[in-house]
Amino acid sequence: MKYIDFPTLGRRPSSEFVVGGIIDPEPAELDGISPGEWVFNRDSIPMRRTEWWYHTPTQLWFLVERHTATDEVFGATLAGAAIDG
Amino acid sequence: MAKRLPPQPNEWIKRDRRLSFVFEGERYDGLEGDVLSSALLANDVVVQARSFKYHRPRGVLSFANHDANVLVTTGDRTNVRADVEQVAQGRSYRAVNTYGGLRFDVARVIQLFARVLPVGFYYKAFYRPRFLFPLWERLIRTMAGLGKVNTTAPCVRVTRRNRFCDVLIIGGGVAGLAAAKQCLSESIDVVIADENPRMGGSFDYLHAYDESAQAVKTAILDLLNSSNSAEVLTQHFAAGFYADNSVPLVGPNGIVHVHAKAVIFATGLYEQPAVFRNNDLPGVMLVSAAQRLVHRYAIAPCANAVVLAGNNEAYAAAIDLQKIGVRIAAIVDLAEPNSRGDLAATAMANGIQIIPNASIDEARSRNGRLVAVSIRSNDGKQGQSIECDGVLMSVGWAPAGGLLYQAGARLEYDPTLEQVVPVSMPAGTYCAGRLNGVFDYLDQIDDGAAAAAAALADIGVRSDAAERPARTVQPHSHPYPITPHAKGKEFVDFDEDLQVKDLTVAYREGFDSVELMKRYSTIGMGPSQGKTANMNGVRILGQLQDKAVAAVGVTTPRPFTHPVPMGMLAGRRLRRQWCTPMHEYHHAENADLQEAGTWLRPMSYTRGSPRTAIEREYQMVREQVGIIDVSTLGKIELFGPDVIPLLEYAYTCSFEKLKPHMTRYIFMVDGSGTLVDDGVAARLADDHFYITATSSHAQAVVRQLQQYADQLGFNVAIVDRTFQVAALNLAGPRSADVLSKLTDIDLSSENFPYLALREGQIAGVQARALRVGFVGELGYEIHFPASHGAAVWQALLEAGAAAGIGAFGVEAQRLLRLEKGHLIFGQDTDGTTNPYEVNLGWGVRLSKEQFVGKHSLTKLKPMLKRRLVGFVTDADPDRLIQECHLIIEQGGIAGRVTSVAYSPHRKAVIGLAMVDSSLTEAGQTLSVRVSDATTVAVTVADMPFYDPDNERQQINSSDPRQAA
Repeated sequence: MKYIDFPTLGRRPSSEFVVGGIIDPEPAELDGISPGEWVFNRDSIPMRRTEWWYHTPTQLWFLVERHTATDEVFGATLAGAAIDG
Repeated sequence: MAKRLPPQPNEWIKRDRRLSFVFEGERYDGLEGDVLSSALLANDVVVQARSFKYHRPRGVLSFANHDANVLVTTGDRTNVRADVEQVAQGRSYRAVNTYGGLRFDVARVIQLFARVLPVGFYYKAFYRPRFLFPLWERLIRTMAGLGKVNTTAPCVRVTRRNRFCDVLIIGGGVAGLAAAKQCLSESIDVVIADENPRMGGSFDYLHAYDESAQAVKTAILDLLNSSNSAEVLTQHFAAGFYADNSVPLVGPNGIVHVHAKAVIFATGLYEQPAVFRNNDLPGVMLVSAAQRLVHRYAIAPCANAVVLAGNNEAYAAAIDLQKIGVRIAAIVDLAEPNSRGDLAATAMANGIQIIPNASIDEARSRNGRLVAVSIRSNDGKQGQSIECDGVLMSVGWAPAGGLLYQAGARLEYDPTLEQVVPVSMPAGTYCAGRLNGVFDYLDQIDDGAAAAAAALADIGVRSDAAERPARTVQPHSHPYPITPHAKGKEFVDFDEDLQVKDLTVAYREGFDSVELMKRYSTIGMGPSQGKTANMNGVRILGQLQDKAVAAVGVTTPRPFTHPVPMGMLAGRRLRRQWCTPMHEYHHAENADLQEAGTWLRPMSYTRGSPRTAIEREYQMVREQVGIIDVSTLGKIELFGPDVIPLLEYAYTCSFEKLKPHMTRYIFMVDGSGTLVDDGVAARLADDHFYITATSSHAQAVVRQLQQYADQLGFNVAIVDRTFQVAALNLAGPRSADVLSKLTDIDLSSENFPYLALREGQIAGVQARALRVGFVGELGYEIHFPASHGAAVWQALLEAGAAAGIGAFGVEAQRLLRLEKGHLIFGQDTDGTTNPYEVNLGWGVRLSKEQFVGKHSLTKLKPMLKRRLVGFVTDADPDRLIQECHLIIEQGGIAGRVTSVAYSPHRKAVIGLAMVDSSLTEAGQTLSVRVSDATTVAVTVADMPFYDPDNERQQINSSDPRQAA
């Protein structure tokens, strides 16, 4: 089991989460690419990137910075925290 | 012959506890503590199994808990390893994989055809002629596989336990115990696990007569047993290594899943067999197997042994075995004995004949028993024949390193040691002892302690790390303990009966890398997973490739390290099961409760057969009134200034024109335009919505809405009220009559029109009522606090008694909505369905500026290739068309049935089918292929099948309160 340190939650096992991937919101306009390309062609190069992680028990989304090849986690922040204030 | 010895200093058996057991139908005596193999050897039963492919007689090989040479069945359990299975009083065992029993296995004749059964035989022989393949397949399936699973065996549930600790030590041998001692010097939480019934590892059999070593062992075990901060788990093997140092330990009572801050691997080595002709004869075994038999179970495996030596351990063992009365006929040394130091001199002084620079050419048997070996010198000369009833091999070692690979450690072949050793360990993991290439006993102690010190420094309870002892510089493995023979039968993999020739042929046929060779020849793919085969396989491949062993590479061992019974993985099979607040009623009324996702839902209230119950419930709703528990619906409340932008983004429709206290049907799609979920949205105020989601998908909808809100920075509070709010649907022509008795809400159609939401008291509880019509009758979906669920339910039943009210289940609801042509998401849609295909285009507002799926739906709209249609047929309802039956058109698949039922209203079978666009005209005939492969004609019909003008939603009486 993988354990990750989260703000407000503390150290939690990865089994409590649903990983939402790196999906961006659907833009109003697709700049010159087809819908199929936008939906299906994902950049899957192993690298350090920010992913959406959902904590099921608290129903909170977090942004987790993780290396997708080594599975190393560099940190997590509460998603949407910026708009709370 | 094999026999029981007088008491040994470290033996694990209880001399005063005799027991008897049955093997292959014969009764034998054993002692408590015996494993099956040792108990059989005590009775001089050396042939204990038959091999997988050629059904050759087999006996003990490694006796190291992974000896797949002897697999037995107890009747209830199968493929049980006889070196692990402790014999129990009265238990009966049989060898697996025999035809007609171990002694007279008729399939043994297969080995006579071994010459025509080359490697890859099945791939080469059985692919043609094609029409015969079913026959071949049946034959191969009969011959392949080992034990038979007894499906009537009693189901024993075991518990899985999580254990969090500071340090986990895997292996309770010399290095592991030394590491444990070091850990106990700090106040930390330690778990030490060993697969054997007792801790001690090689302390017990390599250092049995070393008093100082025994004192060290006893002191550490006393320390461990008296410590409050250490948990000692015997008979637990580490099955795998998973992220962040989590290790499932499989024990007799279930899995202990350990999550450790640091892990120390002290798993030791697997001794490797030598490869020579007939090296699989019962009586030929590893030296360490013999030592374990002697010291743990007081078994002399033979009376007159030839020791095949490739290292010092062989000499030490020969000297030890001599002490307990085994005659050592000779030590055949693969190399020069003077490299063995004092041990060779001691052996010679003890009168043991040493044959240098030679190997065993062939082991020979008479009446199935080993009688002699013939010697071949390393320069190829045939040497003498030596009579013996046992051959003990000690020619090399491979790391018990499966867990290390899984942890991400790098292991390389060390040409000095002629052994694979770890060269780098991932953070938080350490290895110690012989696994780490440290062979000297005192160095092993230091290595274990140093590994523990490093682990303690790693978790922050110690600041300094101790110095690690250097690796041993003398090889303990022979670089090529393989003696091919012109007549073959030199087994490399005992599990799979693979001979040197098989690997040579595989290589010549182009399977020339370890991974390819493994898959083609199946080396290492048997029940012992190559623990005693892969290293020799790699050495042979290196020879064939003319490469150094280090350059050949190894296959990656994946979990599990030992076979794990399925029941261990299943555990107690605990899973969530949600019950609605009305569950007690359903239960008391004998409802047919089925799992729908996590929820338990009443399918029907069975009085009589389910079919009559469903029809009765259907009639009740159509003619009088019924209630159904819909508490399983997702219920989500949204507040905040950005509610409308969020819903506009998440759902396809437009919400701007939705007036307060009105509802509308909503559905969402994903980015590819595929339907994901549907429900009802009710606007309570400009910035306040209440929406429902499908039962099994509610949590996902909450998750999705929250993600959209977070992504786009919307100021919305999303509250999942699924479990706080109970809901029921009161439906039927008399529903207003019934409800009016219990509520202060004005139910007149002027005040409470179709699709409106009203709040008020219902049965004394503050509730929301939604006038929606999923089942096609006048109805009210009533939402109220879950704590009042049972009370409101009961009040409605009582208020409606005169009107003929009753509860109806999910099955009746399915039929009712089918007549009305309403969809069930996940049944009439699947993971590829877009709104246009199911006639929901009216709910998609492509002109909205931005919403999920907009771009895909814009593209998909003009590309409609199939559509959901209703159909009706006069075919006999008992010859039922079923969901997922295919529509066949001109010999090809043109669609499939998604819903089907007998409609009491139409007095015919009706259904929904997803069909090609060319077949969607009303009146079109479709052919449905049903289960018996015949076809049934159905006719595309206009939908809905029932009440097309929604007249049933009218409240006939102008004031239902008066009517009531």
